[in-house]
Amino acid sequence: MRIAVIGAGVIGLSTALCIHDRFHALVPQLQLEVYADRFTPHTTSDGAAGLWQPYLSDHGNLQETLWNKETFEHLLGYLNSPEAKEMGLFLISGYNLFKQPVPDPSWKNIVLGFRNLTPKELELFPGYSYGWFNTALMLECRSYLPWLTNRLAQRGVKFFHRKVESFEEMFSQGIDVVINCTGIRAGELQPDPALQPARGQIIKVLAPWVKHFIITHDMESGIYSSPYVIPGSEFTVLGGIYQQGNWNEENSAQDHKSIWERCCRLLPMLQKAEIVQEWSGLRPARPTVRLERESIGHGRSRTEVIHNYGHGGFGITIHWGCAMAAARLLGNILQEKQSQSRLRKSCHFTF
Amino acid sequence: MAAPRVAVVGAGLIGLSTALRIAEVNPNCCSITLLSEQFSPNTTSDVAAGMLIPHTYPGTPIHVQKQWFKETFTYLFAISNSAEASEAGIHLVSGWQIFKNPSEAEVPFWSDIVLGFRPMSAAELQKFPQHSHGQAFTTLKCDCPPYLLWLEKRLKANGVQIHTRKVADLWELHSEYDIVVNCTGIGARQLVGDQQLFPIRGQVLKVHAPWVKNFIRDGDGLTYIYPGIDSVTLGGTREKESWRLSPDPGTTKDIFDRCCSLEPSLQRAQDIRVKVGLRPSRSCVRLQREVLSQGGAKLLVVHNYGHGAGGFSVHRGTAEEAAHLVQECIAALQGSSSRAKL
Repeated sequence: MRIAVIGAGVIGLSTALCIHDRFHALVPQLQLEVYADRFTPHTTSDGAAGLWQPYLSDHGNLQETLWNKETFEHLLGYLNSPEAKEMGLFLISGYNLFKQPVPDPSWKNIVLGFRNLTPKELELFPGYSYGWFNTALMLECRSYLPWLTNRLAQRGVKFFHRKVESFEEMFSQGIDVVINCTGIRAGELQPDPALQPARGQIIKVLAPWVKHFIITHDMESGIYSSPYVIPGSEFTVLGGIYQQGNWNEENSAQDHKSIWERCCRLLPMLQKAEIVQEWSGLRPARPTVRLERESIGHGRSRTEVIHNYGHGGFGITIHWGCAMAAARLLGNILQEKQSQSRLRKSCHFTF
Repeated sequence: MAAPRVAVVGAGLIGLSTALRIAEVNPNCCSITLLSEQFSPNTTSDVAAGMLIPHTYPGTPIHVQKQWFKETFTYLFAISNSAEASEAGIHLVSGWQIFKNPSEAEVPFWSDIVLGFRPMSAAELQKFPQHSHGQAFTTLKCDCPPYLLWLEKRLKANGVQIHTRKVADLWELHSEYDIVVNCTGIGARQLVGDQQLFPIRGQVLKVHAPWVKNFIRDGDGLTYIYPGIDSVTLGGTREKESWRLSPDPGTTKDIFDRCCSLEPSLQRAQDIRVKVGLRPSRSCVRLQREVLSQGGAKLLVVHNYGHGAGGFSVHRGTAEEAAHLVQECIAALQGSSSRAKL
């Protein structure tokens, strides 16, 4: 039973690990393979700061909120373990700032110590009159993806560095199930007009005196289009760009200026920070995450694809819940294949 | 009469901040010189993490301590919010104070001065299985050497002269200075023979663990993790009457183990450096005037020492009071000089 995961960002690798964890003992002939043309540190996930935080509103999508919760709790379980540092996992506290009162988010009881900001705290942020404080998690992909890769390699999962051109290509090589974790480029395997790039750009600086994340919100212009500052274990990420429909992966001087000026206005001490790197990436935005089975072909040559893409700007936040959901879908497929094969065997006997 | 000549003795946090406040409050009316045997990074202040979490002085009314803390917090809050913050080494940090004993978890007098003070939730306490209660808040941290160096820079900009000099006896300054401000910390024991002043030895580790963003402090005051700009301070010890300045390896291991039990990821900390400081402890800070005289000569003294474990938390407040006492001394000198003219 050969399972191929296409994509080696946070979604692909975590889905592969979850599948291996769940099934390798139950399905001894399970062979897991990962195909990707980009590996860490060149994936979209690597560019993200790594803060666990869903969007402000779940738009009634309870499923996604549950996946977010499952991810947070899964990571929390690793926090006090010796693995945490290697995973790039640590607690971080910080601020979400608004220009007017807003309803509490769906995740207020998932994060730790969620509360409103006091008037004194708001003095720190002129121009913002309302906000939240909470403690959340950071999961830095430039550590997490290698950690996942090492675990997978230790378990004998094979990696193939190449671009997969079609699902058919996989099936013709004897792959039984494809897990499609191709993020923004899923459209190249199967057109999906719902999947659109939401381009982001970030500036990485050295600012070790910043210990809190600060995310500002402009309810009119939308998520992540307002300045944010997220301190990592080594560098601090400055951002605030969210451009729908923009496929350009090159850094823009205009965006740089916008990020720099707005972040320095938010946190004057950043003016003295040394710029270390600049990066642009395409969030794989979709109205909902595509997490579902699809049968390709028919009759005897029916093969299965499990789609797991379209996580927008919350891939790290939701990844483990989705990995488990994808693994459940695979479980259904494996169950069906078992039943089918027993049926075929019993048919043989009656002949 | 000529402008009064003021000498501040001591270049730790108290000496530097007091000299600065005197200069700010008395511009142009006196000359100020700072004298010290040691400077940053070799002062007691450099060993401390510089967290703004007050220590309670049994001999000082609470409202006075609260006022000192409030002045200090307000002053540093403004710096932390400005472009100077990184140079001054002042930054906000959030975290938790945790207790094994519910009776210890009282609301402290400073809870409304720090930011966002509240009890920890059950979910937050899960990270600390051996502790049953806790308090979460956001406060400020002054990293040394940066803060001390920034103070020195401000002093020079205010025309304060800074000299390296060991003062063996305050009286030796009587011919060169009119007013001496004694900010010698633990050195005051020897310098002025104050038997009420005693060291409480503290050993700390400074480690490289930049993923630690929150502080953790055990309510017993002995175990703490304070993330700074370039290192995390792990502590500590409170050894009364110990004058030993050399690090103890057994203590190092004990501190490390205690901190790792609160924050297991510290096992991966690198570049462990050990430091020792002697907290200049006293039941209350000695903030008072004294007149030394021999023969016909006089020397006016203002004492500002004995801040123990709480120097950072109250430094601006006690500097303010010391500066007022200096003003009183100046007024007294001008009064007696005009009487002399009559």
